[in-house]
Amino acid sequence: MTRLDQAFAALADPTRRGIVVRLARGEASVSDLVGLFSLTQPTISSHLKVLESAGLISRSRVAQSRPCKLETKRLKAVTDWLEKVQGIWEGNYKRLDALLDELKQAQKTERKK
Amino acid sequence: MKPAEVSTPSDREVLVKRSFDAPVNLVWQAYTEPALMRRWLTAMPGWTMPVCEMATHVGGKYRWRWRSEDGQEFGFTGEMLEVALHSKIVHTQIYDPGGCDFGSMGGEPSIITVTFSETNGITNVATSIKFASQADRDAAMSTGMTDGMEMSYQSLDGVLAA
Repeated sequence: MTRLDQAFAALADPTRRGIVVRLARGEASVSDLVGLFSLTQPTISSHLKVLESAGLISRSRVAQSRPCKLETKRLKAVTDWLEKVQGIWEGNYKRLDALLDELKQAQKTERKK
Repeated sequence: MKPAEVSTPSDREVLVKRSFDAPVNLVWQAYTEPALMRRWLTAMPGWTMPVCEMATHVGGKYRWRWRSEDGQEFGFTGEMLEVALHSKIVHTQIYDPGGCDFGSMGGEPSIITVTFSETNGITNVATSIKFASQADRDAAMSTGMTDGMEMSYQSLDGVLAA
């Protein structure tokens, strides 16, 4: 599995997405996250392991609480990919908006006849 | 209308949601009639859709092919698995690279599910692309097809709010 693929797999879980959103606001320790998500410490720890091995977060080796930090570079690779996909679809959809306006007009004209 | 929302609900899936200011019968027409499909399903700026054979019955085969100004081509083919008028289309999708160097995009068929629902004249369309394997999604993701596009900004919360 590539790192990007691993990152997507890691983000497929709602709790892990929640952890990422929380860490986007700043570092947090395991006990902070346990309190926030009302999950057991082993559950939170296993989610953190998945996020860490996907390169989405890192954990400090210095402080005893080993606070978790978001690795924004990896997350950016994920959001960049989603933006590219979004760009292609939205381009098509904007043309569809215009086409639908035209079809609505045609339908109105048809009814008036 | 709000821009399309893209999310990854599972490790093999991509989900795209968008609303359209039109009743479902017109959206359905635009999704199923080749003359109309060609007008919006052009993939990228500078591309056209010279082949657009559509099927709207279960077991029917479709064939779509795109061509760029400089003569590059790629396409999709597949079979209709489920068709419910004005509400749902499910089909397989196999990538045909043609002469394009877009990477493999995966060898096995993906399953595409498009659902339509209308509320007060607004039609919500949800498109799910389910890849046969993680490797296939990986291949589709690493393709150069998406490069050089004009991107709209998507916030972190938007990406993660799946």
